[in-house]
Order: sequence, then structure tokens, then C-alpha cells
Amino acid sequence: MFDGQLVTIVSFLPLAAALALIVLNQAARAAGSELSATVWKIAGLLASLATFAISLLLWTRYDTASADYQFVEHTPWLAEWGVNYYVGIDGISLLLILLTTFLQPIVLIASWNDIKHSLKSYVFFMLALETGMIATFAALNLFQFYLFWELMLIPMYFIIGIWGGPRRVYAAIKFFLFTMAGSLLMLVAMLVVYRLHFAQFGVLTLDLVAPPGTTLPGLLDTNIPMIDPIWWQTQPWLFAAFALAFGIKVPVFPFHTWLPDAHVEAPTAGSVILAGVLLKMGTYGFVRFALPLFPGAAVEFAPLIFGLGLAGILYGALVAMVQKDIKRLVAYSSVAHLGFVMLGTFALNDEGLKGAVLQMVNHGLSTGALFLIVGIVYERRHTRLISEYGGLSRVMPVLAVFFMIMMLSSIGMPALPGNGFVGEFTILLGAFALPQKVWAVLGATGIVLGAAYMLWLYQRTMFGKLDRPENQALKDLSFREVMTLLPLVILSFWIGLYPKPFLHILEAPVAKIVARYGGESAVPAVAEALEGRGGAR
Amino acid sequence: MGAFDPATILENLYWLKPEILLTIFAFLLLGLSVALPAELRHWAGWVGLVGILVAAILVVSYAPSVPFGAPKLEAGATVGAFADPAGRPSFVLDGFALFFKGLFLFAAALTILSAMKFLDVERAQGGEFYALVLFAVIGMMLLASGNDFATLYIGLETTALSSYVLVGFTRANPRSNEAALKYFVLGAFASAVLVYGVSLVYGATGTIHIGGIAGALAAAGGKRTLADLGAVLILVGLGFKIAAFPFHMWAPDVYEGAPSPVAGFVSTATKAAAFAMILRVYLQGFYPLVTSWTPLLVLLSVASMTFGNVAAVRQDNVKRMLAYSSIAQAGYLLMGLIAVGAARGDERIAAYGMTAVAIHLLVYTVTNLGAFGLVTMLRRGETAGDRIDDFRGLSARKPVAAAAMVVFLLSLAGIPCTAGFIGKWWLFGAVIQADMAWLAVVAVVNSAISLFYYARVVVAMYMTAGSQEGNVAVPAGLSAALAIACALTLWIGVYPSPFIRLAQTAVFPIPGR
Repeated sequence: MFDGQLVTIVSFLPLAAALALIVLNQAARAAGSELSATVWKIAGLLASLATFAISLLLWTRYDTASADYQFVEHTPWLAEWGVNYYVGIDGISLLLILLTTFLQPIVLIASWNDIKHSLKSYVFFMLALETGMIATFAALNLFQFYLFWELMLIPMYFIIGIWGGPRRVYAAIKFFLFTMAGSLLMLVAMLVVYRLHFAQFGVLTLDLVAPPGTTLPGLLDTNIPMIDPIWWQTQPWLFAAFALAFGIKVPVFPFHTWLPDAHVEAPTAGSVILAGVLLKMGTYGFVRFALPLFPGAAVEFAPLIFGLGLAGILYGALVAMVQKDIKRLVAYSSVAHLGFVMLGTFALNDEGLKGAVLQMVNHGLSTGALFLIVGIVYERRHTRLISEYGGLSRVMPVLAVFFMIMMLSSIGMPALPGNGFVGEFTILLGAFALPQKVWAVLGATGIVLGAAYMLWLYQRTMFGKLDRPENQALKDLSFREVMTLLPLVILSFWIGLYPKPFLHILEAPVAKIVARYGGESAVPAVAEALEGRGGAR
Repeated sequence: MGAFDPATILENLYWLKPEILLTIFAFLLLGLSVALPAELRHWAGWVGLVGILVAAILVVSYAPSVPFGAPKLEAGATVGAFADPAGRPSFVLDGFALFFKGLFLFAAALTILSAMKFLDVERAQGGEFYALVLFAVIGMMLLASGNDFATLYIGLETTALSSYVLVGFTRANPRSNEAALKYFVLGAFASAVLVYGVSLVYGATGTIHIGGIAGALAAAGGKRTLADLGAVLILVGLGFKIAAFPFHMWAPDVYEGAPSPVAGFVSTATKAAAFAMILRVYLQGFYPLVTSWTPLLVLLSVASMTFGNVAAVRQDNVKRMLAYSSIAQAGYLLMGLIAVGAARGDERIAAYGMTAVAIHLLVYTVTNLGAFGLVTMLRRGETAGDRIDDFRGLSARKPVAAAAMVVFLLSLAGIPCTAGFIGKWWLFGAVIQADMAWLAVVAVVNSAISLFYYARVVVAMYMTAGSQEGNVAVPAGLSAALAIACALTLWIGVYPSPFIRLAQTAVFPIPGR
């Protein structure tokens, strides 16, 4: 039942709930009362839980054997100009949608007492944000993708700007400008692809692939030249425009400067969603759009992206190591982790891509949990300075255990919980498949650095003397807080100990993308490009 | 002699019904302003609205008899009036004219709705205001139909003269007086330059008829220096009217000094009227000179958007900021014309470019009227309501109005799901189709700059605390205007199909070169 509309239901349920709340609120106001903030909170939580439940339905009905988009819905929107409402998911989007719907109730519970003012707007923006994120992951029409991609920034802008820390306005504007400005060039590139497609097929469309039941050529069928007298309609330039938009979002070094500010100033829930889901929009964009649309340019750019990814890994780790603020440290660790994801993505082979997508999920879980933990201690002590803490494991043993597990997840410890290990290991498998082992070796060094700053952070905050009087009376986790961390820990263990179902989902769609690079994998081509003999094909 | 025969005149006047009706209403309003006692004067606004509504119905009633997309500009036009002895009409009705007439009437209606209560606050209530708005609209409507330079010029000056007075309407306010004087002096100068240009073109071609000019220029081949010079001078005059850099100097002062509803009107309807004239004159009459004026338009476009956006960043007054933003918008709008110019006669791209200009003019009119409506709303007692600081904490005082302002600002910035994105999508698409992707890149870089100053207003409204003072109910007329503007901004943003089709009626075929 409703199979055809399932994705639409999952995407728009949160927004529908938010709009319904506004209508009810206005109706109640007209009747002389108003919905209380608690009602809003509970309704928001229920809506996000319902969304999660329905997204699980997607998972159970998803056919892992097929590489096609599933649950496809194609409705004309501005059909004359090739703009359609076109949604559908494959394993990659499915995992990311599940991550989104899974994190959303958690952050709503986590911010239960956190948000002191304008709570109704907060619930509204959170639900609108969820719709934006899911709809972006499900979009198969480029116009629609762009629409939700930009739209999603607006709630996040408000969440940082209204409920953030002392420098929230600066951080919100910086976040907004960086990500918006970055995607504007992509808009031009999209229009160029649109024009090229029209010139080749005489049909206006922005559908990525032909809608089911038709043979209309989609954008992926466009033959985009590598060299052309009109330079701006060649793959390298178009790829660069897309890569800039996605790279800022990831963020790829050196476009990462917005990230520490946004993370530090955002309220806990905002940081979790930002790290957990929003950063994945960038890497997802590479996998879904940039790689399939511009295979030639992707191979050519692979060395550059490798270099930047690696720079991100090393730079992120080194900068994280010297941070005094816990939240900033976690923020910089994201730069490093996503450098890893980029490394896997641009290995352009099965293992690399699978590992990259899985690592996107893992990073969402581990970094999300770390931000929650930072939020929990901040709520008690109103400081995030590492030097203010020490010996917390004695007063907050439960927190210490959760922190330990998620910290180990973040640094890629095998089996405990091991999800980070599985992801990084698979990525390294992909990177080692390239003849130039140096990239993989350098990447592996990043893991060591990651372990260093995380373990050091843990040591400085949790162990040592409990010498500060303010810290001696700290309360351990409440039931609510345990409920926010427990699901993350359980899922991390699951992925760490039995990753097969997750990797299995990715099998077919990843193979399909790799197939665009000529058969089994792109290893020879990428290897050639890395050696500098690639050049223009 | 046929032209002076009473029956022929009546027949010709048939096509001017809306203009005639509006003239009657305008004079009625002038009478009412004398006859009505002070406490009843605000009813004059409703009379004006009725006039606009009836005129709009008349405009729509022409639609079936108008050849959409295929205007008959030459002899034997089916829908044209007041033909010269050669049978070429000086007044035409085509899809283009109807689209623009509808747009002007819409802008006037929203302006009157926003102004009714505002004039009470300013103690300037009276029928003259509404009469002047109607006179301005009559001029614009003539302009949209004008098919020779005489008609076009009469339309342009009727509009301009009414606008000068409207800008200075709040007599007690020295800034308003200053703005009116500045606008008048510079406007008169621009008109003079324009007329000089027309005289050169007349000298070169021997006609002031748009179609005739196109024919003469096409026949003249290479010998066209005089006509080129004329076209440039006319562009200077019109560049002033659309507030394109470097002819923009008046705009910030005039918008700031003018009563807020008038600033909204001048920045939208007047600009749209000037664009209508540019489209008609350059894409019809001067089309044979396309290689000369396209580079000039490129220059104007790039300079306007860059200057407008960069200057807007530093503004602390919302009306000045909107003025600079409207200079930038003129730059964006010119991209559509450039696309037609660069299309090298390709009908499809030319149509795309014209659609882009039309849709973005519609979008911009709706959005900017909304934004100025918000500024109007903040005018209370001693507060002018136009500084960014006046917007502080608005989300707490007036959540719905603040949300509407966010919609308008997002639309001006061209963010998806709002009308502005659709306009930019079409404009960027047009220049890319015409092989000028670099211009689209310049435009998006500019859009990125513009995000900053639009975001500043949002910061003021949502992220800074403000006083709770002056929290008075929003008058009904203004609420209605804001609601209409906001709903349309979102509607065009989410489901633009009907509006794009509407804009496509404004497409006319470019003459063969």
C-alpha cells in the first residue's frame, strides 16, 4: 500500500506536521488559548518518530538485488521545461535517509530542555529541516535537488542564528554565505548541462535518468565533451562548478573555515544534524551527481581531490589536537573524517565508494554522539574548555562509558564498537587497490593522529584528578540523556560487528556508478591520472 | 482624411477603453478631493481601486481579440489604432502590451492598498494621491502600446511627471521635497537626452514609427552612424528610468525620501514601464543595430549589478538598500535583453530571453512591492521605519509580517521556492542559451554578494532583540497588499507554470535582420 508514495510520505511528513501545528496553534489562539510549548515538543517528537518508522518500512521493502531506483514517483511539475517532481532511492540514499530519520528524534529529545525561548519556532524549523534533508537525498530531478539543497539551509541558518552561542549571528551568516554562494556556480553548471542535453536530444529535461516506463533520455545520457571550443561546456569546468558546491558543504580543505564556527555556535541539536547529515549532502552530491555526470573529469580531478582530502585528514587532525574547546576539537575531527570519505569516494572503485558511504553513516553516529556528549557536559558546567574538566569519570561513570565507546568508534577501533573501523578499513581497501600506495599510507597515518587527539581529549576530561569543586557535584546522565545516546551506541555496535546488511544495500548502486567508469572499476584510469599521464582523454 | 472622420476616431478609441476609463476616474478623484470632507477622504482610495479593477477587466477583455505572439506592427494591423497615412498604427495592442498593462494595474492596486492608511499617518490623505497614481498608470499603459516615438514619449512623460509629484507628496517632509526636486531635475535632463536621441534617429531614418525605423535601418545597411548615436542617447535616457549604473544616482535619494508606498511604486511599475519601452524600441525598431547595442547593454548590466550589490552592502537604511538592490535587479533584467541580442536571430532563444525579462519583471514587481509594504507598515508616529534597526525583534512583535519579509528577501536574493529563483532561473538560462555563460557567472557572483545584505535584515528581525513599542495593528488594506504579494511570491516560486505562460504572451517575434 502506498508503495509508490512512500518516499514522498517520508519526506513531507515532518513538514506537514509542522504546518499542521501552526494551523492548530492559530486555531487555538483564535479560541483564546494557545498550544503549549510541551504540546509542540511532543508533537514534533511524535512526527519524527513516525517518519523514522515509515523510513524503516522503506528499508524492509527495498530490493537489494536491484540497482535501479526504487519507490520511484514521477509527477509533472513544470513538465514543459523538464522540471518534474521525481523521487526515488537506491541503497546510497536509503542509508542516508535512514540516518536522517534516525538522528532526528534523538536530537529532539536531546534538546528537550535545551531550548529556552521561541520553542515553537524551533520545532517548526527542525521539522522543516528534516523534510529538506530527506527530499534532497531522494531527488532525481536536478532542479528539485537544487531547490531542496538550498531550502534546507534556511532552517539551519535560523537554528544557528536564533538558538546558538554568543557569536551565533556571525556563525549563521558565515554558514549561510559559504554554502549558498558555493552552490550558485553549480546552478550555472546545471543550466549548461540542461542546454547541452537539449542540443543533443531536443528535449528539455532535468531528470537524471529516464522516468520509469519511458525511454526519454535523462541527463545522465548526455554526452558532455571533455574538450570543446566552448570551454565552459566541457566536463572539467562543469565538474569544477559542482565540486565547489559539494566541496564547501563536505567541507573539503581549504573550504572548511565555516565549519568550526557553525559547529561551535550552533545549539547541540544543530551541531548533531549539521555533522550528522548536512555534511553528507556534499559527499552524497559527489556520489549521486558529480561522479556519474562527469566521469572523465572526475578521473582527471581525482589526484587533486586526493590531495585535498589528505590535506583535510592531516590538517583537521593536527588542528584538532591543539584545540582548547571540546566542541571545536570535535568540529575539526569532522574535517579529518570527511577527508577520509573523499579519499574513498575518489578511489572510484567498489570498496572505496562502499566504504565512503558507510563511513558517512558512521561519522553521523560517532560525531553526532560526541556533540551530544559535549552538549550534556556543557549544560551542566556552561563551559567547553578542556582545562575546566578532569576526572569526570568518577562523578559521571555512565557518561564516561558512552564517551569511551563513541570515541573509540570515531577513531576506528575494531570491534568496540567497530563501525568506524569497518568504514575506514573498507575505504583503505579501496585506496590500496590503486597502484600508488602512498595515498593509502598517508591516509592511514591520519587514523593514528585521530586516535591521538581523541584519546588525549578523553584522558584530559575523564581521567586525572577531580580537582575542581564545580565538577565534584556533577550529576550523571539522566534517563532522557541515556535514551539519546543508547540508540547511537547500539547502531554503532551493529554496524561494527555485523556490517553485512549495510554493505549489501550498497552493493548494486555502487557497482552501477563504478560501471560508468568502464567496467569493473576505475582503478587503471585513476592510477594513470595519479601518475600524471592521464591528461585529457 | 480618413483618420479625422468621427467614426474612425471612435473605432480607434475602442482600443483605448481602459486608458479612457482611468482618465475619467482620475478626474473624478481630483473632484472628490475637493468635495469630500477630511474625514471621508480615505474613501477616495477605494474609488481609485474600483477604477483599476474595471480597467483591468477591460484589459483582459481584449485578450481574445489580440494576436498573441504575433503582433501586427505594420500596415494593416488588425489591432492597432491611430494609423499614420501609410497605415502604420501608433498605438498597438498585442500580448506584450496587455501583459504590461496588467502588470502596471496590479502594481498600482497594491500601491493604493498600502498607501491608504499610510497617508493618514502622514496627514496627507486626499484624492490627489490616487489620481496621480492613476495618471502615472495611464502613461505607462500608453507606453506599453506605443508604436512610435511620439506616443512612447507622451506615455513616458505622463508617467514621469506624475511620479515626480508623488515622490514629493509628503510636503511636510523636507527629504520628500528634496527627493522630488532631484528626481525632477535629473529626470528632465534624461528625457532631454532621450528626445535628442529620437531626433537623431528621425534624421537618420526619416520616421519615428518603430516598424518604419526597423525597415529603414535594415535597408540602410552599413551607413548608420547617426542612428547608432541616437540609439545610444535613447539608451542613456532609458537607463536613467530603469536606474541602471551609471545613470542610477537619483535612485537611493529618491527611494529614501519618497513616501514608502511611492518608493515601491516607482521602483517597480516605473521601472517595468521603462523596460517595456526598451524592449519595444530595441528589439523592434533598433533590432538591425543589434550588434551595436548588445555590448552596451552588457556593460550596463554588469556595471549595474556589480555596483548595486556592492553599494547595498553598506546601507543601514532599508529603503536605500532596496534602492541599490533595485539597481542590481535592473542589471539582472538586462540579461534577458542581452540574450535576445546575442541570439543571432535564433527565434527560440529570443523568445526565451523575452520571457525571462517578462517573468522577472513580474516577480520583481510582486516582491519589491511586498518589501516596501513592510517598510510602510513600520511607519508609526515618530518612527520612519526604514532603518535596519527598526526591524529589530520584528519576529517577536509581528511574527507573520516578519515571516513575510523573509519571503520577500529570499525572493529578491533568488532562493528556491520563492518567485525570485524562477526569475533568475529564466534569466541565467537565457544568457547560457545565448552562449554567454560568463555573464551568468558574473550574475551569480553578484547574487552571492546580495545574500549578505538581505541576510542582515533577517538577522535584525530574528536574531536581535528589539523594543515592543509601536506594536499597533496593521491596517486592513496594507495587510491585504502584503498577503497578496507574499502569496504570489510563494505561488510563483512553487508552481510558476501559469505565470510563465502569462509572461510568454509578452513575447513578440524579432524582425528579420
